[in-house]
Amino acid sequence: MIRGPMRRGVLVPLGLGLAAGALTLVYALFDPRRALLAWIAAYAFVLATALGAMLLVMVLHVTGARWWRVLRRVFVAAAGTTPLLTLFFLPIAGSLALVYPWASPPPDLPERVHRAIEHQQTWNHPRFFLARSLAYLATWTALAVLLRRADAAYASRPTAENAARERTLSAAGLPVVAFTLTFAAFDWLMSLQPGWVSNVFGVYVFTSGLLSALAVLAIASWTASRRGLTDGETADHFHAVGRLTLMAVILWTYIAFFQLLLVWIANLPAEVAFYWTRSRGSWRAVDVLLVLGRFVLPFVLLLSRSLKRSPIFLAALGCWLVVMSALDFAWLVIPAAGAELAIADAAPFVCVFALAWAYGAHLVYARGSAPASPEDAALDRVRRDALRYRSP
Amino acid sequence: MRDVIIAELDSPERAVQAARSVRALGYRRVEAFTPFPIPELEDVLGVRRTRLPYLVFFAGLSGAALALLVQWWTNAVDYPIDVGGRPKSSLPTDMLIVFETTVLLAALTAFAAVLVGSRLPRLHDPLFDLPGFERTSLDRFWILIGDAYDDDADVLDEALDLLDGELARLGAVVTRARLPEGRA
Repeated sequence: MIRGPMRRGVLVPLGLGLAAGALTLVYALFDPRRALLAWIAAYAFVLATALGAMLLVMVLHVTGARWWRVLRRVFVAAAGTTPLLTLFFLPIAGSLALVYPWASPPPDLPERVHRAIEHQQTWNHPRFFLARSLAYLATWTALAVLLRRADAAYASRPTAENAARERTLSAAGLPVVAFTLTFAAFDWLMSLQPGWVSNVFGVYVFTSGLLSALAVLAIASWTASRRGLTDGETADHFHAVGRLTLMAVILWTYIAFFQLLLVWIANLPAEVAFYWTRSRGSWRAVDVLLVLGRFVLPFVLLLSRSLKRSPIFLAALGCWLVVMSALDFAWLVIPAAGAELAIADAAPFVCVFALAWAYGAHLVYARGSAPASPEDAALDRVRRDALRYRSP
Repeated sequence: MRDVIIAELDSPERAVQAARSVRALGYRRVEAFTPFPIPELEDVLGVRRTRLPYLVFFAGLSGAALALLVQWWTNAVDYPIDVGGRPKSSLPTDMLIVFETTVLLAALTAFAAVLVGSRLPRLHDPLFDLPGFERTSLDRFWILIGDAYDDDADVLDEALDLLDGELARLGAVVTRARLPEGRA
């Protein structure tokens, strides 16, 4: 049974999430369409974060990285929150016609958009859409559960077979998650703005989620290490997390920039519409904030070696990057329907994020502080290598 | 010509201990030659982290500034061309050259600074003439005490005695060598 500060670590975000959920309900009563848009943005944000963590864990397994084993509990828990997100898809599934133009085309659509909707009507048929969504969610849930089980099996018995099991599962899962994530991004987010297409959109959502996942992992690793739930981590392990975060910052910027550059060079009305809607009104300020807050600031700060090696700095920067990531998803979703950013949009974000955090914290704590038996731990060569890890 | 004192040791642990004793005796210009990197030795010898990253960072910044300046001047001032009504000076397309120049200048600066900082290229060092020095790339650990240098032979003998007595228990072979001037 979980007690003391650990219990608080689950209950506080749970309470926060439920309170924000109540506010979201109120928001939905006043303006259901607007609330659902914000909910989709929040949902995509947390889901991309969980899937970013899942892809990261899989890559670490497949490449045979060892340093992260001292933080594995946190990493696997972050990836393991995916099943919970199936639940949060229900409001979206129940009210497609409210926000998706292809489900109920508004009468005043431009000719170009109208043609695009007609062209895509087979693919975006509500029933086909829901069947695909179900397939994505089932795939991710299965992979998350399998990954968590494989991890628990290895933690209790660190044998070569159990290591191979994690590795095989990850190698098989990587392309599956990559494709389902790409298609889900096309279906759930890109189809909000029919007539606008970008080949790199799926990768954009992935890189954004990866950055947000690393930010969450930095916060969670710091919290877990303060509560003694990690396994002998040092500044070198945090240094590795910091380096990965810098990589993710650069990767997201690279993808976001090239999407903009290609649209800029082609200068076609259908493509420019995406950036046009996002450079009006309050979104103009968000553009500037995203460039400065999600690229310039973290990039310059993370260049420093000593800052990357400081767990508390990484956690603080992680908090900032989580907010910026949420803003990026709001930027991606909400203007698609021509809406402005509102303060009430924060409610669904806090709700989904806090509930997912509470579930992740539960996963971290539920395993308790019981490590493998000493004999097994001595046999675990991977763990020994992880403890000895020194960053260059 | 100047005189230095050299201690030859046969294991990394002993090299670290020897370096520690030499530093404890107050010698400051101490260098070590080892077949592989020994992280503890850096701490003992007081080797600071390189300041190279700052130099590279500012070289990168100047590369970016240079690229922006050149593109703005050619595209908007010197030879403006209207391409489909786009702005004369367009930041997104400038960014590619900005990136390339940032990396180019940063990388060249890093390369040049490492060469100069390590006193490379250098085909020969007077140290190579010392008998047995080639084993520092195989299985011997040398510690070179540079500030034992003094014109006075008595001072040097004294230092040699002191270090010999201090390092003998580590199995060190302490000798005196004469190097041509010009080596730090």
